[in-house]
Amino acid sequence: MSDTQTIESMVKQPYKYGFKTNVEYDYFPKGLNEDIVNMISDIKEEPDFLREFRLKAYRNWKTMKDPLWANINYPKINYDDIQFYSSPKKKPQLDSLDEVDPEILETYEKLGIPLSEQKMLAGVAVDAVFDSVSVATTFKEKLAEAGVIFCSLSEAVQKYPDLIKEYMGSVVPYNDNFFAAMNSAVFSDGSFCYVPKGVVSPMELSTYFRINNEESGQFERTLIVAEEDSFVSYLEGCTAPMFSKNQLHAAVVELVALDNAQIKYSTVQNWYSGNEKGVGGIFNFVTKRGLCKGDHSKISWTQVETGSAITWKYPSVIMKGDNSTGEFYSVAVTNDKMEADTGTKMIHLGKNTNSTIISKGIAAGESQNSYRGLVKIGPNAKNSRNYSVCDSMLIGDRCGAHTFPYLEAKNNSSSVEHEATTSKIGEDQIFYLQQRGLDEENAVSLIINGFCKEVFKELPMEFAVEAIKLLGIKLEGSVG
Amino acid sequence: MTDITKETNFLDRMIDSHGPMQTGYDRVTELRRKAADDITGRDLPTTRHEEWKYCSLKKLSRESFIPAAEIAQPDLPDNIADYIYPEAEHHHLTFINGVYSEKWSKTDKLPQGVIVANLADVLDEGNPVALEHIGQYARWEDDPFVPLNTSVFRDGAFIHVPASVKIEDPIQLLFINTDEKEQYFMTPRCLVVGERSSEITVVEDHVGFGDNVYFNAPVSEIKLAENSHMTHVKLQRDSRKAYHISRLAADISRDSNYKSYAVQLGSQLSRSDVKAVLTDENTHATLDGLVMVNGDQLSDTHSIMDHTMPNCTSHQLHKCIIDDEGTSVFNGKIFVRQDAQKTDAFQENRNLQLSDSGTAYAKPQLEIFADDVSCSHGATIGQLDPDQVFYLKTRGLHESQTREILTYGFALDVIESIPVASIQERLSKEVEKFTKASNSIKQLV
Repeated sequence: MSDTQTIESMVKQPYKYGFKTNVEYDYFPKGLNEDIVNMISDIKEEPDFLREFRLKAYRNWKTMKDPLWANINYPKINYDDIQFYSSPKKKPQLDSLDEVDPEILETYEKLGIPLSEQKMLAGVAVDAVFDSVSVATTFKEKLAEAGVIFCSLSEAVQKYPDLIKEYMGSVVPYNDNFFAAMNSAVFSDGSFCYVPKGVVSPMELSTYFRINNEESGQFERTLIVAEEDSFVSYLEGCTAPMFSKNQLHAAVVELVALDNAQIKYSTVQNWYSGNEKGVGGIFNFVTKRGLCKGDHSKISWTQVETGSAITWKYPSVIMKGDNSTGEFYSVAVTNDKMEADTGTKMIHLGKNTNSTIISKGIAAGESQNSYRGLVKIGPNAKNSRNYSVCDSMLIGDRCGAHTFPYLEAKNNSSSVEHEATTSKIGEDQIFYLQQRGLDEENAVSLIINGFCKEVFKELPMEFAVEAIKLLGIKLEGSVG
Repeated sequence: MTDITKETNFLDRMIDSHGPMQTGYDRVTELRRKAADDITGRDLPTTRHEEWKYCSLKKLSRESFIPAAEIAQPDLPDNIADYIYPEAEHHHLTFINGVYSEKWSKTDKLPQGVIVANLADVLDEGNPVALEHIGQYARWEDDPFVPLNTSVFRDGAFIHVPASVKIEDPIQLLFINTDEKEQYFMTPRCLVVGERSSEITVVEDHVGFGDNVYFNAPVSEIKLAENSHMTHVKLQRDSRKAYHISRLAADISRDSNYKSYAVQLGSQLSRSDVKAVLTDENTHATLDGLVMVNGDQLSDTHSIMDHTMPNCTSHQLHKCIIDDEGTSVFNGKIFVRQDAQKTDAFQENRNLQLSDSGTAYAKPQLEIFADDVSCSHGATIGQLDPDQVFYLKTRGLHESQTREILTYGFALDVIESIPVASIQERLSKEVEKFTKASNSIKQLV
């Protein structure tokens, strides 16, 4: 059938971003023990509280086991075979992009993130993370004018230890789960953003992550704090080079919103997902959580997940403040042998709290796509509301779509609504569009874009364009 | 007593209390032995087990029970006949504390060839149909309660409907549990086999007379051959201090139609696992449920709708009403296997929370491996609609009356779908009792 062929050819597009740059690394012994944790702390010249934090996390991690409850299958990870820290060779402090290793710059060019140009064109401050350590940060001055602190986490630890001490681990404690504990012990770097009281961040903040250096895990940590009456929108986009050996990625993202503050966090994730036979690809175990600490605060997660061999990710919102709001918009696309178990947790603690979940899953090839979400309404969360929609689309008869919603309500003034559907692209839909003059590929692409529209409209403009393209690439020729 | 509980676990104690294993035909003996081997030395599942996340068996595991058959002379009330539905007047089996009572059972006016009898007798006689089907369908992964029942069951119901026989009136299986001082334990077993093009309605009714503690662990197995129809109504009205853990599995063949209605009203802890396997094309299954909990009751329903072949449909409507400190749990799984193209599956779970301290847990679950399907589920947890409450109040009703009437209305659509008139009536009364709606309705009329 031509439909199927088109779909398949779309699905089978090779990974566009598979290349590897040769940069020298500070090589680190493999495996994880207290010495390694201390070494990381030494290299980064960290204050004692942080060293303690890492060690506590490490000791806890030692007692924990890999979480196996998710609907994903992967070979057991040998943590002794992972190099827990790597960074580009130390160089003197850089003042401008010219001083950055040209090879790294070239990598960004290939990815279509020309740092130098972006500075002028996009109006986006980019804190580019190359294998864990910040290489260059731009637009700092402009943000500084507004009072926004946006820098690498290592820099923040040196410059603003009080803020780090107060907020790091306050949303995702060091012993939260296996991967969060591991991250807390060995995190190498990440981004830190602090928006002071009453400030609306003058630009969208973004970080591009790259995974390079075979056999090295990447352990990012992001912390965003929005003070009262402030607003910040943060974008995160990822691509990684093609490797045959599985790579582990265990990031932690913490968001804190105080009274009337709003944080919008958007992600486009397109890491290497392995080849058609399921060899290689990134193992992505991420803990993302936001705390609506103040009244009337709002945290919104938007994610477009199109890569990684394994995705294990549940961006959550804890609505502690009264009248606070949590949102989760997600598109997850799996293909070939990819497996994704992703969703959210909406924990209602304060009164009159509101949450919305819109999740769209698209499974193609032999992939497994699961939505797993928890909506929990505590006894004190009077008059709270939740609305969830989880739609799945299956492309081909060898993939699977799963929905695991958990709804828990403990008072009688709140309401929880959940609905889920599973379907495929109708032949009549394609036929209709074809008879209006669209070719099959465009018809399919239009239908898929329509399916995901509710989520895409939440993305900042430039990301929305990128996401639609990405989806096109991922599913090109596979739908019908 | 406490020393014993420390030494051996609950399941071993239950099996040991029945003395040496019953023997019979090889097939049954083998089944029992295997079941006992499966659970010997095993502990009851804890809340760390995903299937038991919201349902703790801690309290049950500390209890001690004697086999119900050992109770010398159960304290029988004289109004047992009142519990027989008029439609089932001529064909009903009564079990008192899990033991078959010939005196209170009747199997007249059944079409020729139909067998409605005590399972223990049938198995002892070596009925080939019973021997063929027993233990074939009730299978859950990692579950101790089916093996527990299998290893020690004795009495129960066996219903066999030959090909092309239609029985219009329902057959009632009445399980009466009397008020005794001793805590007892029973394992009723039902096996229903419907041959090609047969039609049958079975009502399984568990009634507790007292306010005593007992443990009821029934298992029912249903096999429907091609083009057969079965309606299965299960009412659980056990004592408010009882434990009720039941398993129901139905295996449905081509062109068949199985409808199950499960109503949970009694027990301090009730757990009901129902499973329908659609084994061939063009079959339909309905698994409806109504749960009402108040006081400190916990009611947990887990259902599995397993679509294995193309062109099948399924429908589920599960409603829960939670009052006081009650807790309701619903986990509804729909599986659509790779071959089950053109499946149409729908599931709806509605929870009505009447009190501020009640808890509702809902986990609808879709697992789909075929692409050309239409599957959806919806789950809601909410309260009475304030507009409706307001409307009734403008018509002069009190707060409590409006609440009662609207709750009654919420439950009504499950009740009305049950095809036996006198059960509808009985249930309406139970709901009224629950919501105390009767008063306000009388006042209106």
